[in-house]
Amino acid sequence: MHRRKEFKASPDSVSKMLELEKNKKVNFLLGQIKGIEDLKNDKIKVITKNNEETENFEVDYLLPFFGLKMELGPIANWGLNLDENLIKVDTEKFETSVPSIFAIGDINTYPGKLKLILSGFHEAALMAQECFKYCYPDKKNIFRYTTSSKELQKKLTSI
Amino acid sequence: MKISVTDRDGNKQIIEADTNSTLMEIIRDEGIDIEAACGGCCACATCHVYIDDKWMHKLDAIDDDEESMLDQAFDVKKNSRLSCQIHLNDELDGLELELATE
Ligand SMILES: Cc1cc2nc3c(=O)[nH]c(=O)nc-3n(C[C@H](O)[C@H](O)[C@H](O)COP(=O)(O)OP(=O)(O)OC[C@H]3O[C@@H](n4cnc5c(N)ncnc54)[C@H](O)[C@@H]3O)c2cc1C
Ligand code: FES
Repeated sequence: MHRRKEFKASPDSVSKMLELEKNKKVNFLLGQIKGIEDLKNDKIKVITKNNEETENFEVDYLLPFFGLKMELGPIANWGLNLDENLIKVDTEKFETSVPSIFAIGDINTYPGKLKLILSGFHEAALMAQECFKYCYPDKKNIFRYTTSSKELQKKLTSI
Repeated sequence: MKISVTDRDGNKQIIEADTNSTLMEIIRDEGIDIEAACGGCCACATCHVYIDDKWMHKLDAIDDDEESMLDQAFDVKKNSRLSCQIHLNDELDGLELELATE
């Protein structure tokens, strides 16, 4: 079910979906979900509306895809030091207030934080240094570049 | 210039507006409860408003990005807009709108 005929997904995915609809493998409905109710028979009643027309359907599963805002969900109850809905970290290791739990990318916060792809990668590189110590407490972590390390190059080509 | 904002409880407020900010920024900076989670990047749909019908034709037409972001909002109507994508101009003095359901 979708609000309009146009989709923002990649054209290839959209044409695959339309092909499935043509072959009656997918039943595409135009409209919006106005309400849901749990039914006793393990099914879900979905109330939908398209323009002024209301319809009801019974379904086994409902997978709603709405909104793009960050929500911590159960992580909010992990006892981490939070700043509103962001996780506070230090800028050396990007570790949270709970040792061995790290937070990188848009979800973390620290003075000067910028929500950029580049920042996320930078944070990942520094975080990995600390993670190494947790994973291999007895090993020495040797810093190497992919440009010059044969070992790293071998690892990368074998993926 | 002034605009009229009706919140989700039906309370109407007349607030001061200017042409330097987006509609979302004006509502948010007034302390009215609009989430605007992405800060105006047209990436969250939590700044969804219903524009009073008599003002709809005075706004710039909705573009593709805004239209597709509205797919992520609840209860989208013909007069739905994302307030972070609306820039005010003098013609919009008196604009009336209502915050959409969350
Ligand atoms: C409109 C827009 C334009 C941007 N342009 C640029 C740009 O030009 N340059 C730039 O550097 N940055 C840009 N950014 C910022 C950049 O996109 C982000 O900083 C970056 O994507 C953050 O990466 P991330 O891995 O931390 O989070 P995300 O890429 O947001 O990844 C988080 C993932 O976690 C998933 N997730 C969330 N909750 C759960 C859960 N409970 N269980 C399982 N999975 C979950 C999400 O679905 C998502 O896939 C832009 C952002 C926006 C919104
Ligand atoms: S503030 Fe996020 S789409 Fe407008």
